[in-house]
Amino acid sequence: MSTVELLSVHVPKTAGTAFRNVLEGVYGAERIHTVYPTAGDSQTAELEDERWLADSLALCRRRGDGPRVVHGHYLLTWYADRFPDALKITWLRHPVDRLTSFYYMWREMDPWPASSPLQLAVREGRLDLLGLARSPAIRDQVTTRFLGDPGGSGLAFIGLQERFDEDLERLGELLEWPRVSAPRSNVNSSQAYSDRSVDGDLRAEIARLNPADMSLYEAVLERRWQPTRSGTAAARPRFRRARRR
Amino acid sequence: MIDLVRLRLSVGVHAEGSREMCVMEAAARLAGEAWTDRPVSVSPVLTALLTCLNDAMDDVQRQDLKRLIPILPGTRGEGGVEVVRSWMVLDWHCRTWPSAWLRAIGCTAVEAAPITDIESLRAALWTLHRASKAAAARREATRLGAFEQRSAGDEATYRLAVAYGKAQVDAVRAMSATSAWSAGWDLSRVYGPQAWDAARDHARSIGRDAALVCAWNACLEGPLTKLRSSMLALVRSLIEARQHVHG
Repeated sequence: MSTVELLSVHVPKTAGTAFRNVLEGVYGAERIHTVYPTAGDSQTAELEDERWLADSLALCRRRGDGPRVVHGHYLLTWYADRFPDALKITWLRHPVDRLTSFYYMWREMDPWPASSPLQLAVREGRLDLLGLARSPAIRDQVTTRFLGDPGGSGLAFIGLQERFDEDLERLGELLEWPRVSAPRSNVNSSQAYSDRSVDGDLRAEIARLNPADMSLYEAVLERRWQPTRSGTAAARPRFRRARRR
Repeated sequence: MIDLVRLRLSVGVHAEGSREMCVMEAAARLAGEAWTDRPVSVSPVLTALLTCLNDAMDDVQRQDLKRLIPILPGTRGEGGVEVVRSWMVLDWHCRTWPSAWLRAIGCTAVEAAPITDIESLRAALWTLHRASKAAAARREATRLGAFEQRSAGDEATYRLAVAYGKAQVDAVRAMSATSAWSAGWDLSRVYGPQAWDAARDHARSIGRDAALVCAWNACLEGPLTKLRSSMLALVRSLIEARQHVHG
């Protein structure tokens, strides 16, 4: 049986780094397989898909002391195909706030050799927040590019960054984790981000550009979103073995 | 023993005694070996090819591999047999596989002589390069055509981008379920790493571009069906290679 029991999709700017620290506390850093782009990776979507596919193919052959958790920026479907019994989870944030934080991160971040044209345009000041929000590659990025489903189906848990502590406790109970704490990390320290002003009209326009992401976020916020029960039931007994190291 | 009718093949490795197995775990069990996904009695080239396909195929397609299980034990070859098999897999990936994709989008197939050694691999590179350019051009035309269809405004562009993104995912899935780039190539790679890398890159590029065109035009099933059938034929040829070499 594969060692991987938890697939955690880290949507950028949703407290995923803080959550990674939690995972390391519960499972041990050596049992967390992280999936993040590196400086040499091409940023085109299809080459990302091929990279994730190759990674998941190699991972599903690991035995014994292989990873128990896959955490990072990846399209869920590639790992879900390889680990159908693993529990799938993610964290969301209000789409306008997430995109705003993402925009200012790109503004400040040194570009990589393989940075996407979009990222370079933001970095060089050729694309403002609304321009980025209008890019087809960015619109509804969470549901189309990370979760691969507008309704978040197949996921057993979705937490919200805005109520991180509360939702983390809920997740811990679901998985029968030992009590965990999560100091904040990777907080956007950009001065421009601190000084940002996203007025009502701009917020409304960015929200309009992301209908699927908004819909899923609101469903989770209002506790209308329902987890996939079968995934939860299948994975839950195995989580009882998880212990802090 | 093992009940192949009731057996369900599934992705990855499994715990000993599991009712589900991957194709190679089933072959090991049938051969009476200890629980493993790398049975000593099976050709390592076949093992690499079939484990990769086992994990990349969907649940329904994966069950087609069951029919191969009885003929796998005892296939491990001696001497140069595995090297011959490695070149056979490389040849399939460089000629048969991209040709199926190229034909599906109306391009000329890879017209190269069979690849059996480093000289024939080098000779095929230019043809592969030219074919990859043709597939890339067809893909770009498809992309431009798709986005020219939009009416004015953001919404149509957005919907097309979502559909195009889905086509990209479908294309990668189709590529992976009909191929195993890492499988069986390692031995042939020893003879010419640079040519090997170039051939793999060209072949993958052709598959990537052509599969996307097919996905966008909703005609993936044609090449997929042909390639599934061709793969099974390849496996049988790899097994027969032992018999041929052994005389």
